[in-house]
Amino acid sequence: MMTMIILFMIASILFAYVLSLKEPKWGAYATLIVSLAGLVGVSLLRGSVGETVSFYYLHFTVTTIGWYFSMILLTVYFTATFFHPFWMDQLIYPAAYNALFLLSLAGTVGLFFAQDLMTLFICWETAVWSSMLIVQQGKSRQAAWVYFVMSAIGSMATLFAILLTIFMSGTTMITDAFIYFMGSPALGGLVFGAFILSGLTKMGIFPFHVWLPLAHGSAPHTFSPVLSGGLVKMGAYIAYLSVAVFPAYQVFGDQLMLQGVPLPIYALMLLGGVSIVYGTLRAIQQDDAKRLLAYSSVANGGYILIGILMLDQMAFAGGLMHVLNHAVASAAAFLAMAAVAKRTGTTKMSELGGMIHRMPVTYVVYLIAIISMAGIPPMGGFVSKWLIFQGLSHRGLIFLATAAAFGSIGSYLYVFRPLSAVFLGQLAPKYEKIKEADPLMLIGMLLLTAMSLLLGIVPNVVLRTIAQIQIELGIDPIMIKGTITATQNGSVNMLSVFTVFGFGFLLILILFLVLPKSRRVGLMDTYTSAEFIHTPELLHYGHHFYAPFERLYEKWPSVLPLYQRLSLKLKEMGEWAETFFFHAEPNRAVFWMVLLVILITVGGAR
Amino acid sequence: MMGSIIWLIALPLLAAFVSVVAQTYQYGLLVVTLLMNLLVLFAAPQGLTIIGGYEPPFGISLLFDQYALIALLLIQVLLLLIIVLARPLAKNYTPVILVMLAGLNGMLLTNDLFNLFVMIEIVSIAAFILSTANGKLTHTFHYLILATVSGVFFLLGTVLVYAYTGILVVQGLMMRLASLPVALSLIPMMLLIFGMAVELKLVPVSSWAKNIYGQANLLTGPIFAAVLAPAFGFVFGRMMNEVIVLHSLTGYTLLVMAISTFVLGELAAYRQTDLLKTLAFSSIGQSGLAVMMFTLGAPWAGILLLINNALAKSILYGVATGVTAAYGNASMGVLKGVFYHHRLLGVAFSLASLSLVGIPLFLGFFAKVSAVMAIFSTGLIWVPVIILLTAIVEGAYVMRWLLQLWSPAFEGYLASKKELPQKRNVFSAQQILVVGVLAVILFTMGLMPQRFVDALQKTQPAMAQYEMVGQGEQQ
Repeated sequence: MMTMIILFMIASILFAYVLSLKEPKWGAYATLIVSLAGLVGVSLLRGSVGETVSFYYLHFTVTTIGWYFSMILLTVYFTATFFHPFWMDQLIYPAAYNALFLLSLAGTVGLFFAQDLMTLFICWETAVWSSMLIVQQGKSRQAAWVYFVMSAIGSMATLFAILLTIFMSGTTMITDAFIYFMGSPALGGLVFGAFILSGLTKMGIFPFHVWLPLAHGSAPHTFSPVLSGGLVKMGAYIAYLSVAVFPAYQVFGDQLMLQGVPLPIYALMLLGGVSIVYGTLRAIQQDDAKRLLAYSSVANGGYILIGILMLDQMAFAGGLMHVLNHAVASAAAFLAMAAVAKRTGTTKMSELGGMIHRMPVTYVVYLIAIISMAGIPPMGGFVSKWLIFQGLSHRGLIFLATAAAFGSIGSYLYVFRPLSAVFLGQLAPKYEKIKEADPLMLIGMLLLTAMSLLLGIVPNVVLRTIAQIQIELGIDPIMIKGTITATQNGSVNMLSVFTVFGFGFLLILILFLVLPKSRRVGLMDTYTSAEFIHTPELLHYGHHFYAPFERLYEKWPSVLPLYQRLSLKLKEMGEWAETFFFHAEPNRAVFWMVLLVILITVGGAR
Repeated sequence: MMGSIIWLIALPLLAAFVSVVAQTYQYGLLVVTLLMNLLVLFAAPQGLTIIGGYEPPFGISLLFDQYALIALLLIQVLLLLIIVLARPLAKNYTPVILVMLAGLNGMLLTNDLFNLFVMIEIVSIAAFILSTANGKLTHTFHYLILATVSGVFFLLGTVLVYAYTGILVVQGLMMRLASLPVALSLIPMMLLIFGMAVELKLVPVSSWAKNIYGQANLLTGPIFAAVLAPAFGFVFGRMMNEVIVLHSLTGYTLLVMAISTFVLGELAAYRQTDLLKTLAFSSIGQSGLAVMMFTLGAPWAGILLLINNALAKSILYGVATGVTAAYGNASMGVLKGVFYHHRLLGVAFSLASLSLVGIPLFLGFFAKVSAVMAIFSTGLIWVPVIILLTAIVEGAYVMRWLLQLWSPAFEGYLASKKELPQKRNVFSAQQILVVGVLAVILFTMGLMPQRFVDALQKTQPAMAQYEMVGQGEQQ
């Protein structure tokens, strides 16, 4: 089965490429069919946990966690492909896009099923470079470059850790190799820190988040959902490996313990907390909807990191479930924005407005997505954030719990901004004639919406798999019974929560239908009546939506300049080396040569 | 008749003389010579060939082992493909290329230190003449000065070695040298290392490469980066295993030189805005990495790096010089988006650059991994840190170029065909085919690293033996 999936993936990459050369749209449909086939194929692997396949020098094995992550990624990839046929004419290299899309898909799935460390790294890098070449086809070359460099920082650290592990332990198998470090805390700490770095950069944990707004904001609209919903989750898997498979808690056993968490892990969790706060605050500030969602991914990456690093009954389950919830919600939100951008040509919120009148289904998709993203019941996001919060407060990790709470409340602010600025309010005259997104796109988006809803109503479907993962790791599994999700502090029945919310929704719907309708006011219909308005868009309330907030932290330091300065410093060092050692004048080189020989002769004879 | 390895030197020399007379058939002669050399490579038995019946140490002998086979094969194949790629230019330099080929083969085969010096000089002179094809005589002159000074160093080193040991046979010379007092062997070793440092482009004597490589054309670029550079790398590898005894002082000097070549070369490449200059500094850096491997006693990681770099650079220089010639300039602005018009060249270039950086699925990755693993076994844990940190810089500038060459877009806007440069003719179908063949070779090697590695590891036993002997007597 596994072999078939791998061979199918490789063949389909070539097939999609050749087909796209003929007609890009056919290639786009091919990506849809291939990712669906991949999804079905991988879902059938659920029963064959433990099956191993060697493919030349790559070794794969089916694990529950790998299956879980692969399913998430494939879902995101699959739903994004519904948009592909409509974007082929916007891309300069459509055939390369389709082929690289499937290659990055193959890379990510391979990563989750990797049995040994080399396979893990090879699949990781393949996914990175192929996705970088896709990001390049968007609006910014610089963004793709920053994405690659940030990834490279993480990848090289991880490669160091992997090679050191293989060298020290003498085995490449992920499960066996890391055990070696049980007895050597110093080396183990080094390997842990280097290994998890690629996960941190990929998840966009502060201070490695700089690439996210750039890459997510300017990638092709069809790929931003995959970046945020899919590829970022590769980082979560690395975080999982470095804490659950790498014996991190044992290696750091003699370190200072903070509420039962060793200091190095706690420090990483704090970084996750900072990411939550920072991502939330920055997201509030953005005017571009895609950049806003990118910063929200930074914040949500923080939740996932904290949850997974806890490695306990509740927060760990929450972290793993949040991977799925955020993937689904974020992909849906990005796709909704892509649909809007397809019709209007922009993702700038101040230029949009009133889209609900023209694209009501897209609006619903976005609404459900952000409810889940903000962690409001009855959507999936609530359950996972609730579990993480439960875990944190149960351990008494007060700072992290505060950050988590802050992020939840802050997210109301930022998810509301696109909602009101893009979808609600007045419709600009130039958008009077636009239509709802194409039915095929709607199918892709509605699939995700349905998932978000289902995850909120019956989270236990997913938590059962997570409990299985926890049992395999030897930690207490999350308690589930029927539709009840229980923790040590209390339990929740999401079905009844949904029923209550459903009643509330129905009540408001009836009121809405019964009460008199409001009068629509056009964008041009403003209070400056009798005067001609030259710039109606400045009167749009999406313009400087959160002006007080923006003023509040407009002078805040940003992290990106630090990296820019570092780059500049490297160039300066290069310049220095060039003038000092690579100067065109040969006499300098001859001087060095003679001087060194004399020095060594004198020094050696001494 | 064809069974003797000496034909590898004799044939090109003979062809060089004939080519001066028969000018019309020059190019054909060059191709035929290279093809026959390949034949000789497969027909000749491995072992020691004694010329003229004089046993060493009195006569000159040629050592043809697995190591020499790999080096010779790489060089004949690459040179053949390069002269087909740069046919119009190669026609004017046929005798020079043939003499250079004789020198290169001699350099890789000879088992005599003085003979090695002669061969290096032959290659250097041919390289000087070749570099005049760039049309910058000042640069050639600077190169000539440096290479000549280093030649003197090498000769002095050889003389001292002969004075102290009484023999010049390369094979096993290390054993004799290691038994000398440190104060005696230190100076010849240092002279020999500096004698090679110029051609190896080691800091601080690599300045010539900036201009010779950075102003290269379709002929000189690939030949310098993909034929001469690996050839000198292989010779250095041989020297490190058979001749040079590293004391702590020379060892650390060489290591520092190699590391700083790698780091400073890559840093200088990072700031370049000219494609050829970028590749020039990248060649300097990569040379430092290979030298590092040979210095640290991991020859086969060095071999892998040399092969990867040679193959990648032949493609990179081939495409870069071709595109530069067609579009007039190698600067970032001019070459923006040119690969839109030249997809196949673009794919080959991308493949080569991904392999150069050491991205998985390509040969460069396995080279990098074996390099780091080899260094771990020496216990120097900080060297891999430097290598991997520098690899980030290397990846950064290579990717910047790749993105620039593929995408014509203005920053902040989607790419459209309006921004594309006017299409110019870069290569003929035949030339594209050559680049394609090079790319396929590189890609296939990356696909089956294990088989490739197994073949390479056959070179290990013979070399490791001398290594052990040398180290044993050092202590």
